[in-house]
Amino acid sequence: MLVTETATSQLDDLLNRIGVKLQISPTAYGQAEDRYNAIGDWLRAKGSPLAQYDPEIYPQGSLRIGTTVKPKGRNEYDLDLVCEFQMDWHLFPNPVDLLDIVWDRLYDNKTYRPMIERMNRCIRVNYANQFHLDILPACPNPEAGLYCVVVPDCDADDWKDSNPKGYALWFEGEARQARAEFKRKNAEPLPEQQAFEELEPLKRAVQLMKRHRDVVFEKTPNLAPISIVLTTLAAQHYRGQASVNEALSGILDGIIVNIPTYERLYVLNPTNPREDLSERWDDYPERYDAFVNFVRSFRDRWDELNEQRGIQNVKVVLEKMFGETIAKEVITEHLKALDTIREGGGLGVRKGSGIIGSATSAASVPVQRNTFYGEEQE
Amino acid sequence: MAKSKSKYFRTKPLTLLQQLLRMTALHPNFKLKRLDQRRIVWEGVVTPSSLSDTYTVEVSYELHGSPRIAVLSPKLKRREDGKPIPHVFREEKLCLHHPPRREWHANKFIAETIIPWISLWLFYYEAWHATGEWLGGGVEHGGGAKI
Repeated sequence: MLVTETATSQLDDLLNRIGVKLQISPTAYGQAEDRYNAIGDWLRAKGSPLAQYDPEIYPQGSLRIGTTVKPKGRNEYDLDLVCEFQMDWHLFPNPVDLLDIVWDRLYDNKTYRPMIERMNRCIRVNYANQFHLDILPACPNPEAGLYCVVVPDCDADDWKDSNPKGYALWFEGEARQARAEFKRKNAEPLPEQQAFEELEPLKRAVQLMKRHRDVVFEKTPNLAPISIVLTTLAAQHYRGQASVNEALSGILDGIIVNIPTYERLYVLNPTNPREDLSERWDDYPERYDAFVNFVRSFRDRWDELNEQRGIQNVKVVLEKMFGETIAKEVITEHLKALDTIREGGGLGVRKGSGIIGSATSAASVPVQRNTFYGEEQE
Repeated sequence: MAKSKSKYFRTKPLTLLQQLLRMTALHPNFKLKRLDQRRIVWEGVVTPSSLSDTYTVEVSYELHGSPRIAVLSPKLKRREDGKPIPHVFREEKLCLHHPPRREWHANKFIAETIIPWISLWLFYYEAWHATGEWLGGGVEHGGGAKI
């Protein structure tokens, strides 16, 4: 069956292509891996004050779960990594000291010195035009549970609980509900870069939500809902749909139905219910209002997308949601994907409707070779 | 049709009745509008892809002529940037094949050639509106091949 034969498969093809365009390329992914392994080697090297704590760097967030999204108007991906040290965090009266030690060690390296930047909870290493690696130092906190860590927070001048591995495992579990069979490797240290055919619908849906957020909040980034909130909500409301289109419809419906009439929505960390991922909405109610409006208008646009007939009209809605260039590119690819099949005589039109599809179906009439002709009119 | 026989096709074109029977068998979405000694006209509804619009088209064929295809609704439009519609003749009849290549001739069934090409043309037409590019290949009057 060709994707043009049902509205859902045709729309999914366009949405999957958008996802592929947004995600980090396999090449850049491999480079990121090389780069952070080199940083790990430097932290572990002989003579490093950190060597005794056996630091291990591993990906977290979108890089770990495969939901990276190219930032709008910028070339660098934000890639989040954890650097876990085998040390007892109770021995650090001042958690910021840990960040300082990592900073000093990277500063000692002539290569890294001009590239590093100090952030609230992490150290950023900038690779111009490629990505920046945000390295979050962490210590294991086995009392809190499997894979739990604590991380320094400079603003709060304290340790904060975190569980990047646990979160990723929870998310992957939700993503695997997909009825379709998706082959996934879950090996350390990095999950293999996934081809779009095999990326789970939940992950695509998360990418699309993040991209739409970036488009909507381009001028007001401070109001934008944060990625972990969107990702968590998406996974909580995903019901195993095999179609990206249907997955996203279901997720948006689920979020909207659960928005309380009084009070605000709480988005708790599924691996640590004491952590409110949406705590910033307490201090910034305007951000919560922006989130609610975002989800509701996203749902309206999604309905609008599903009601469109005419590829040009579908494109207009995709463009509004995800940006002009990307909408045009995926439509071009969608059509170009037919070329080889057309040349090989593999296209047919369905009897009774004329819908283009595979010539092998009994209910179709093969499309013979043709050459469109005609004058250039000016 | 076998190539060796192609030089005889002008002497023995398919009859309008043969064309009609094949059309009815393959494309129930095309209804006969008119039939006389020399001319047959169908009107059909075509949806080129699942996300596409549905078009009403008229196919008229006069014996020893070339089938003429007009889109009745929705009306074909230029792009908003003013670009004219590619691959149409005057009066906006679709140009589906290149006569010198004999992709269509009177020995071929309209139902097996022209009708599938209409879907293809409409699909590329919609994508042309969306992208500004004709992605279906072809040749232009006086121009070289684009495929």
